Amino acid sequence: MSGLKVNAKLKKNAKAAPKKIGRKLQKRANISKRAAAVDANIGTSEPLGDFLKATGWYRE
Amino acid sequence: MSVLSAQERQLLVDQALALIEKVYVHLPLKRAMHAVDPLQRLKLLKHRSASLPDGAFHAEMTSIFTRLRDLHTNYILPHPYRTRVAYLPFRMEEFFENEEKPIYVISEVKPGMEDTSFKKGVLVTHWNGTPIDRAVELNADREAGSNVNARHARGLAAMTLRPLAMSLPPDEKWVVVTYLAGRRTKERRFDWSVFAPPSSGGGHDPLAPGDDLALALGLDAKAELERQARKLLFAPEAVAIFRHVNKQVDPILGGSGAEEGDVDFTKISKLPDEFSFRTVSTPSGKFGYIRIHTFYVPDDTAFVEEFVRILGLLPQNGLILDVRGNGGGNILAGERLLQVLTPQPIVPEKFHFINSPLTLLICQKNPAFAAWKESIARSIETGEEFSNGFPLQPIHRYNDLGQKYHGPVVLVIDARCYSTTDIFCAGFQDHGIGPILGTSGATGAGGANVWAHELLLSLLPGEDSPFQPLPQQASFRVAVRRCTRVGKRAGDLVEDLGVVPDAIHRMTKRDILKENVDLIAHAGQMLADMQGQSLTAQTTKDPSVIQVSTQNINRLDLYINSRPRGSTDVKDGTTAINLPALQPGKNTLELRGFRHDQWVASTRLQV
Repeated sequence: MSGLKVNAKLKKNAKAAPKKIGRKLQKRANISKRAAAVDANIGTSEPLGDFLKATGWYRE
Repeated sequence: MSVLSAQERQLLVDQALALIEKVYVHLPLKRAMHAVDPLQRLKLLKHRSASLPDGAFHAEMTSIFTRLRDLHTNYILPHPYRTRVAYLPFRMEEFFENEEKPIYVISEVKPGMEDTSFKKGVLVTHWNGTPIDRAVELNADREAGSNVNARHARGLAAMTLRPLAMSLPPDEKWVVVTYLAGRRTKERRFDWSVFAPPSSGGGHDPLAPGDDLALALGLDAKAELERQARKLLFAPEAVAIFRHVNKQVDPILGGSGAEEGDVDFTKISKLPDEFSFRTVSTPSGKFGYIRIHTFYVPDDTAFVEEFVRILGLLPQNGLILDVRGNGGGNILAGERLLQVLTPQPIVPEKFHFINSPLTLLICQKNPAFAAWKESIARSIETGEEFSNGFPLQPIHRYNDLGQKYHGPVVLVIDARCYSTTDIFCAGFQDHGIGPILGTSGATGAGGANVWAHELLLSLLPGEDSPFQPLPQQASFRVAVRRCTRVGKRAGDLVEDLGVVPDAIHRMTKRDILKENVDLIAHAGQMLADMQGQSLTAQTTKDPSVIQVSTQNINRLDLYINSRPRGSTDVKDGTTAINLPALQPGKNTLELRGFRHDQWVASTRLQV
């Protein structure tokens, strides 16, 4: 690959990098938004073991 | 949280005995097919129940009902189990490559629980060190499915999700999942958690059907609970759509009830919890696709009307109707839907009680069951085991709208289709509406009308009633009227046999991960091989003439107010038909379209 071509590629990558980071951040933001929506939808969760112990399902 | 007292346990067992012995319609079938003796097990439990820990009592009650292999007939655990669902934060499904053996894949991960290697698409190899095939097989044996396909499907679902109202909680507090991330084998531990699904995500409480639904209920309540929980856990977008649509169309919630607003009802159903739809592109062409998620609706008329509205938005050259995973609901919603897909008059399935002094008493005391009374009373002399069969409603209710879609239809089913969905699939097959494509060898095989203990209590109230109020919101559901098929399979049971598809499609990995793309292509290919037709009619300025457009039809018969009034040969295109003198007032015109003497289409017009 000629020096000229390498330079062009580096320039292209440098330009693309912020976009890529932006996309990653966006993706991460979307994931946490969905996670928050699910947590709000289902309300409080508790570990199964704690629940069964509290109900007297079995004796530990 | 309190445990049941000894008296409360005795009462529960006594009520279970009364239900199973005196009204449970499938008892002879289940004894024969699954070699079970629930009555003896209940008597033993009554004898031993006082000494058992609470969990062991519930486990034995659940086991007695589960072993009936009937998803309609359940013991509903008391508060707080009744409202809780145990879950792992992911969903596992199966697909097939070249061999018969399924491969298990993670198909959903609860948002926020993914990591760089554990995500949608990874293959599961072991479950707590047990090879995954064996782990699913063991779980399937604990489930109530009527046939092998159904048990396997229910066992797989219960690997990660268990409504504690009807399922035994897992013995383990956590699971260690071994999976393939690329070529590397990895392990991750997940804790079982418990939550109480709120009703705001969509869907009605399957354990508390309203008065409208109680007598027409055909539902696998556990499957409906699972469906609602899965939506809350994995589909926040669907929950948001449901809330948004509800707000827009429900005047009580502040909407206008009209179509104005920002929801585009050409893309989203007004009943978004029940229907989703789109146009699909397949290698064989573009077709309509409708998924019916549930038939569990209080208003069967609104349900059918919304289905008809959706049909009008989709291509008319072919429809893929997907009812996989649908645990049923309102039997009338399922059976009344059939009419819009076929020119044939619908003959609904017949429902039968078991003959016993108690079912006779129910029919004598409640006018709604008067039709069944005579044959039950006669059984003392005839020795018949079951009553005569009658549809749930008068026949005209199943045929009040007539055909609305004239293109070919392929129905897609799986082993999780149950009850109303079984009945719908049976009706689809028995009326020759189209071929059925199955992702398993049969539907879930639930053929009955199911009643809650609360309904029996209201039908036979009073101190001398065999039914008494139950403690701490515990309950029972029981199959009371079994159904039999019509048409070529007249008299066949749906229960335990299910509906066998005409063709099988083994789910592929692409199906699981890319919105059923191969399954839809398979259904599209079947549609492309079928012949379609169209038939529309409209009035003209001249009240004695109607204009009819036809395709692939060569004869039209005209009926006015159900009387035959003429017949004419037609070619593709538009034909003007002169009407005979009409009666004053409203007249219903019906045009029946034939191709080579085969009745293929029908349409109605009010004049």
